[in-house]
Amino acid sequence: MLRRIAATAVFGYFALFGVLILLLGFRWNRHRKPPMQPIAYSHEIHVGKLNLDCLFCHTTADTSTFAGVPPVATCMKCHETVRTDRPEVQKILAYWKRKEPIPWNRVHRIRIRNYVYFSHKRHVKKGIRCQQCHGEVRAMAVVRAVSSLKMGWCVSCHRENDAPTDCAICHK
Amino acid sequence: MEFLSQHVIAPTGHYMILLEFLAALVYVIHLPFVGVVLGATALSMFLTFRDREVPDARFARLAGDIVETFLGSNAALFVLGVFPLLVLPVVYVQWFHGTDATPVRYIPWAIAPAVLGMIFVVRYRNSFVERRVRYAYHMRTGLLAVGLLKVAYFILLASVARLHDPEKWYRVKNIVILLLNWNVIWKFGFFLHLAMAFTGAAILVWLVAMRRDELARDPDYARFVTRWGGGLLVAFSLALPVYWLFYVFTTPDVAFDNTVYGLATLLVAVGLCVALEAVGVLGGRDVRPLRIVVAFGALMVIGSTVDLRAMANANREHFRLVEMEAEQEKALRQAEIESRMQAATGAAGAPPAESAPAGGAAGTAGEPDPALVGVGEKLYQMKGCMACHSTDGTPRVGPSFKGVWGHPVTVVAGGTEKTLTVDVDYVRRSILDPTSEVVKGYQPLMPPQPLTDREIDALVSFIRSLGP
Repeated sequence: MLRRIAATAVFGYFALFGVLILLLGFRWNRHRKPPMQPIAYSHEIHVGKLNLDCLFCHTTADTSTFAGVPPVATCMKCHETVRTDRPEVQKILAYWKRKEPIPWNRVHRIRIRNYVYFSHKRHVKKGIRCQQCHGEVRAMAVVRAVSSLKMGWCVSCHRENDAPTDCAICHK
Repeated sequence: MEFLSQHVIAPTGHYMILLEFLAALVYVIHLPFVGVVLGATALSMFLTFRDREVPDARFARLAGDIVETFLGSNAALFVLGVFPLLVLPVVYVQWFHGTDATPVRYIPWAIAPAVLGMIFVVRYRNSFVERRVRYAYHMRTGLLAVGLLKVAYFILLASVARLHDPEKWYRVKNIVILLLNWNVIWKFGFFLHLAMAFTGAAILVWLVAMRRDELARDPDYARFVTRWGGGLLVAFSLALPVYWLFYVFTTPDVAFDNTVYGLATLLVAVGLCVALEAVGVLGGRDVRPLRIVVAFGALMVIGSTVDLRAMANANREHFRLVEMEAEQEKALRQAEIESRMQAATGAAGAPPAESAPAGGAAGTAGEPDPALVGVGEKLYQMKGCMACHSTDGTPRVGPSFKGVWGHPVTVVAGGTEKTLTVDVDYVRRSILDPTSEVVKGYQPLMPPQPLTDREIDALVSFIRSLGP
C-alpha cells in the first residue's frame, strides 16, 4: 500500500515536470520560433552563394532610419528572367502579376516602441557591419532574430565602442 | 590551444556528424564514470567520518566496499577518467574551426585539475587502509580530490554550456565571467546531482545485485546497502526533472527546436522509470541491474544528444559557414584532379598540363590549360555565375559567355560608351568591380565577386574554352 502511494506520488511529480516542459515548448513555438515566410526565400543562396550585397535589396539601410524590406520590383530585377521555372520564383511572379506586396513576416517580433529612436543610417555610416547585430544572415536558409534588441544589449555595445550613452541619444 | 587551431581543417557536413557522435560518446562514457568516482569518494568519506564519530561496523564495511569497487583500478581511473577528457578540446576546436569562439578556449583549463584530482583519488584510495591511524591525511586527500574534480568539471561544463549563447560571447573576457551564468550554474548542479544518482545506481548494481550470494549470508548488511543505494537513487533522481525544467528555461531560445523540447520530455519519462525502480527496491523488491543500467544509459545518450543538438542549433550559421567553406574546397580539389586526369589521358604525346606556366591562361595566345578549364567550370557553377550568364549564347540578366573571348564589345563606363576587347584584364575587372564597365544593353546589377587570382585564372580559361 505504502509502496503504491509512493509510486503514485513519484509518477505525479515527474508528470508535472513533463507537462511543464511541454508547455514551455508550446510557448516557444508560439512566440519565439523563427517565423515561416510566405516564400521560401533563402539568404544562404542569394548572399552566401551569389554574394549579393545587403544594400542590393535593403536599399535604404544607409540612407534612412529603416533598412527597408525590398518591394517585389527588386526581386523582379533578376527573376523576370532568372530561374522562372522554380515554384518559389513563380510565387513571386504571381504576386507581381496581381500587383500585391509579399506579406513577409517580421523576424524581430518586438512591439515597435515609439519612445526609442533607432536609425540604421547612423550605424551603417559609422561602419558597423550588418552582421554585428543581424548575425551571419548569409548562412541562414530561414532568417532568425540573432540579437535580443533589449536596452542592455544596445548599451553594452555603445559602451564598448565609446558611443554616447546619454538617455536622450535614443529616447526622446 | 593555438597549436590545435593551426592544425584543424574546415569540417564538411558528414564530418560534423562524426564529431557530434564522438563528443556524445565521450560524454556517455566519461561523465557517468567521473560521476561515480566523485560520488564514491564523497560518500566513502562521509561513511568513514560517521564510523569514527559513532563506531558502526556496517558503515566501515560499506566505505571499504565502495572504495575497493569503484576506485580500485588505476587503469580504469586513467583510461575512463582522464583520456576521454583529452579528446574534447580537439573535437570542439575542430567543430568551431579554431579557437575564435571564446568559450572553446577555456575547455583545456579543465584538464590539469581533472588529472590532479584523479591523482588525489588514487592517494585517497591508497590511504584508506590506514584511515584510523592517519585520519586527517586521509580526509584531506579525499577533500582535495573532490574539490579538484569539481573545479575541473565546473570549468568544462561552463565552457560547453556557454557555447549555447553566441550573443553573449563578447562578454566572456575571463574565467570568472565564464562561470557566472545561470545556464552554467544549473548545469553544474545537474552534474553533481546526476553524479550522486549514478553512485546510488552503481551501489545497487555492483554492491547489491552482483554480490547477492555474499550478501545472503548477512541480511542485516544487505538491507543496509540496499537502503543506501536505493535512498540515494530516489533522493537524487527526484532532483533531475527540476534541472531539466531549468534547462529549457535558462538555455537561450536560439538553442531550441521541437526536437530539443521533445527529447527533454523523453528524459523526464526515463527519469520516472529510474525513480520508480528505486522506489520498488526500497519497498523490498529485488534489484534488477539490467533495467537500471539500460535506463541510465538511455538517460546519458538522450541527455548528451539534447545538449549537443541545442549547441548545434545555437551555432547553426557558424557551422553552415564552415561547412560551405569545406565543401567548396573539396569540390574545387575534385574538379582539378578530374580535369587533370582527363587532360593526361586525352592528350597523349602533348606536353603535360603541369608544364604550362601557372599564369598560362593570362596570355591570349595558345590553348587554355585543360585542367584550369575544369576548375573554372566548377567555379562557374559554384559561385553562381550561371544564374545570369549562359554558355549557349542566350542573353540572360548578363551577357552570355559563349564566343565572347577576344571579340570587341561596347561597354558603358561612367556614362560614356567605349569599345574594348574581352581579354584577361577586362574579365578580371568585371569580376572584381562589375559595375565600372557594363556591356551596353545590360543593367549594372552584378555584385562584386571577391575571387582569388587563381580562381580568376580558372574562370578566364573556362571562358576562353567556350570559343572565340
